[in-house]
Amino acid sequence: MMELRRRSTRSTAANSTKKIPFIELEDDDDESQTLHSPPLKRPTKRGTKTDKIKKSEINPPRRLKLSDLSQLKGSFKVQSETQTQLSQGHSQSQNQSQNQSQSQSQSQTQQLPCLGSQPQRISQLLSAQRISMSHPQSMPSSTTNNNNNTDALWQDKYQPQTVPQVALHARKLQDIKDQLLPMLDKTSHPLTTPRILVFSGPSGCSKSTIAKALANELLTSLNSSSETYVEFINPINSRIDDFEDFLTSAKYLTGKARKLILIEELPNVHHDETRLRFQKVLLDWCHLYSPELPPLIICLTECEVNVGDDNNYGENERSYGVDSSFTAETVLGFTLLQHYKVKRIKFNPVNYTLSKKFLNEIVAKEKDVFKSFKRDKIKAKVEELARLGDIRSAINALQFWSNYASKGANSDQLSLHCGKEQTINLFHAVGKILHGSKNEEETDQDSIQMVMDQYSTKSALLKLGLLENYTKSTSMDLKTAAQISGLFSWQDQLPSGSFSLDLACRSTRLSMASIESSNKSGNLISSVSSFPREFKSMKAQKQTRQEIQQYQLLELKRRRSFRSFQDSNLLVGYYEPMINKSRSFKDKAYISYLRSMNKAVPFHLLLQEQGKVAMSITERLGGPFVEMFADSHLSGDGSDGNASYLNKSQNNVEYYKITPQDEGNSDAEEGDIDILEDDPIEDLDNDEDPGELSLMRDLDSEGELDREGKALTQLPLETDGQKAEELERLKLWKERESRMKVQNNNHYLDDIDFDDDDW
Amino acid sequence: MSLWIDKYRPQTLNSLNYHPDVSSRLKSLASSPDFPHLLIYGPSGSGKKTRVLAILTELYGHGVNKMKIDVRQFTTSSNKKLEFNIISSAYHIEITPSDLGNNDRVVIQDLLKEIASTEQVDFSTGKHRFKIVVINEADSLSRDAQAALRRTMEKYSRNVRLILISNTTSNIIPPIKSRVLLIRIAAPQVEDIVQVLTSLDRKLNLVNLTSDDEQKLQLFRTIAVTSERNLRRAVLLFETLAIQNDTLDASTKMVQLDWELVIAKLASDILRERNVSRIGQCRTVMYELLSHCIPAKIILKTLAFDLVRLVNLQTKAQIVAIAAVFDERLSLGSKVIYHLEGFVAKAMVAIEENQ
Repeated sequence: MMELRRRSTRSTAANSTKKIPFIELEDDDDESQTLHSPPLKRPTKRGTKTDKIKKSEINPPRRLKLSDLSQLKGSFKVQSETQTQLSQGHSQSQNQSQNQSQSQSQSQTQQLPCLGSQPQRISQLLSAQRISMSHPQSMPSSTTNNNNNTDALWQDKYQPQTVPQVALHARKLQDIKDQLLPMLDKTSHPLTTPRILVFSGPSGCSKSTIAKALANELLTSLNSSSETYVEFINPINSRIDDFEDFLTSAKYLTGKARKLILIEELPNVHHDETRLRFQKVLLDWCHLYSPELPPLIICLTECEVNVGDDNNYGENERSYGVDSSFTAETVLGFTLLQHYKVKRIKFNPVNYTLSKKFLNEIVAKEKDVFKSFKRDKIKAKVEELARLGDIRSAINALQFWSNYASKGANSDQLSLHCGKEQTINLFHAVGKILHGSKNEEETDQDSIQMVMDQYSTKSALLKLGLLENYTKSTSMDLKTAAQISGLFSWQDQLPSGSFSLDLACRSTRLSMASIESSNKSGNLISSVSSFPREFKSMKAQKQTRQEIQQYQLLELKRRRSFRSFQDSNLLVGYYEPMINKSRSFKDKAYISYLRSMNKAVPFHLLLQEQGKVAMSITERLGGPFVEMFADSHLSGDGSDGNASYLNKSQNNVEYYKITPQDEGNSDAEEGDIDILEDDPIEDLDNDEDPGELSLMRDLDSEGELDREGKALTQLPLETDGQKAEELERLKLWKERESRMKVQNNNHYLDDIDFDDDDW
Repeated sequence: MSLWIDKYRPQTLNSLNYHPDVSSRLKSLASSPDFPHLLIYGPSGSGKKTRVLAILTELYGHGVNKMKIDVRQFTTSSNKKLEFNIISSAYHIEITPSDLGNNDRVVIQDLLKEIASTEQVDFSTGKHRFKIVVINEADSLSRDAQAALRRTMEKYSRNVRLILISNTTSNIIPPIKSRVLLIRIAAPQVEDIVQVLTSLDRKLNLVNLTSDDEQKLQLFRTIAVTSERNLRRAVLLFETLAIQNDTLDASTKMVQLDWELVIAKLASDILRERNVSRIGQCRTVMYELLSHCIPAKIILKTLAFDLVRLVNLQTKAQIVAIAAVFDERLSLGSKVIYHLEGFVAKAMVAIEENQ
């Protein structure tokens, strides 16, 4: 775990577009620093500066928070200091972290042991800072300390403590308050009051800050203890139980001890079972019978996890789900988000005006740092950074910029890219191409170029995304659609690569633009965009193929009948289940008729009735035809949808009923496989001695034979003769012998005519 | 419980029902001391495999029916282990290289070399010193494997004879075609199928089948036509009908294949309503068909013919032309969905314009 995190942080520094799920999971606070650490080539130029930082910086007054933490009841409190830090995902190795934690607890001014190269030291400093920042409990009491400390990270130093300071749109704030206030009010109506608030949005848009600030504002008066919220912290070897335990203990935080429950860190939701359990626990929370519960806020940083490129991707990365796009829909699931006790509040990136205001405030406060700068330069920088939309990242960038630029003379040469690289998720990219950019200043050329730069290695995904969504435009006429799809088809013949992507994107945009201009109304009402189905279909295809191949093999082994793949799929796979089903139905009727007349039931029918004969398929190979829906980005947990599609459950609309008769009998291919495993004869003769048993096996179960490495040379005719002798030698009961013969014939020769129709 | 298609499959050349000229030619081939490489081709369900098995029986007697299944392991050049099922008897070996994808060359070479290196030792039953290698679905062999086959055919022709079975010769490279004797098995005529079904009926003595000969004949004809002169399909359909219906006569309703119904519905939907959102709905159907491993070419072909049946003369020609374009692109491109969608969109436009 630690190894992984370390590596991931490094790679983040090297290539900021490559995000790794681990970081994303818990980032919210952490990711941006490393993102904006300057290129590692330049350490010499700022050597003295970093030294200075180092001396004064290692004094986060963190002891407070740990003791605070330990006051909390429940299992989550028992964590050592080191553990806490580790679980917060810091980039340092265990040793280093321990170093730091020691240094923190010993002395406020102690220096770190000098370690290796410059970049390493810097990252260490960063991580030291991050520790301080990611333990918000300390905030209220330590703010003054922090402000005195001139070299602290600004994003930490200027973290808003009160609600008005937070860079958040007033309307959004009102939305949140509207939801949150009734949650704190015991008397509010239970049907209209949510229990869980989900704050979702990109990183650096004040989600957790506002949650904490609101907690301070709204709960301080009601609350006896000093902290106003508790946070879920994932233990180092976390299990899903931890989260459950946390919530169980947290539900008593009402009345005097009332706190806000904040969930920023999640259990490992990339693991399917854990995610489902996580969703269930939250659902239970909604259903919990309790007059009063502390408000629960989930802060979810949404992002599209980097899906692999065209030639190299994991199976899950290419289907819509938590592994490809980390959003409230995929993480929490559809049921939960639709629940009346759950309210979701979407955060947008912090807008330009607010960011600018916030950054300007910082500039004003940091007079010392900025006094050597030219005003227009500062202004330009602030404006540039304010466009980022990620306020945390902007503040960091500003601080680093000030550090370098204040070094003086050659500051101009250090034209640092102190910005966050924009990432465009698939739905956004598709939207940009289909509907153009919303941003007036951005030309189509720019936006297409931007999208293509990002998707150059995953062109297939983007193209399929376009294909999946272009028909959703309502104002498009048939001809344009044909033109676009014709071009898609045309570009597919070209060698895959940037040119075909170029062609697809530009031609689509061009066609769409022509509709827009001819349509004048301009408002192309686009419904929800969908994730391409191709990958889901490929998965299903693979499954079908395996099923058919399995069938081919079994038919070959059991009945010596060769079926070509296409025949199995197109003809036999459909007719045979029908025949088998009707036949077994008739056989059953025949047996009950014979019984009612007190006649003997033919032995082969008895065997069949007991399921001792090799099974045949009774369901359409590859499952019935149903509709396969595309996962839209609002369609909830994609993997759920996938699972249900692949299992052909009744969730999907069956648009063709494949089997005209009853569908209750669902022993499909699984049945076939079972038969190989558990041998019918073996069942019959369970009580016989082993010698006999092995003979039985030889007689009938090809599966066994295979396993024993014997060639399946026994021809039915031959088998009969030889085996009869052996049976004689072993003095089997006569009855059983005949039974064997029937079974055997039945199995191999098929020359017993089941005259179904005679009666 | 095996199906009629397996149970009543003719075992010998004498018991074959139709194409008597082909049968007699094969018979004389089998009785001659030497035997050429064969490429047997024809549409699905025309009796290629049955004839091959009959030739084998003719050549070696009933010993060839003592078949076994082996799982062989092969190592590819990239050290990947492949498992491969082989059906063999003492006299022949049967492989289906399409299971192997792109690694078929290795398998073909290894296998042929191995077989060729051991001469036939058992002269008691067979009079031939060569073994036969039957290659099913030979048209799915990669070019690479076909090139390898060409050399092997010459080098080991002393000990090995090949019988290639394929639906079409167009995917087989000319050097191979020139080294084999091509035998085309045409799809049986409707009357041939009626004859097969009649003889089947005689064997089975079905009680629920009408005793009226005229009605019977008509039923068999309908079955033959519905199954598009594919004998396998006809027999399967007959069995399904026989087991599902209490009385079988000329008015019995045929059981259509599910995927064909899906495509037929698609075609009628396209004809009923043509707009952009319909294209999206068609895509859903296409994906569903593809998920069921229905080959894109078959989808395109079936849909095109279904549409042609429904539109006026002028549009017919256009749709066929469009289908031809996209059929080619299916071969050239990589993602079939683009081309299927392209066909649907263009066909819609064509229908719209001609109204």
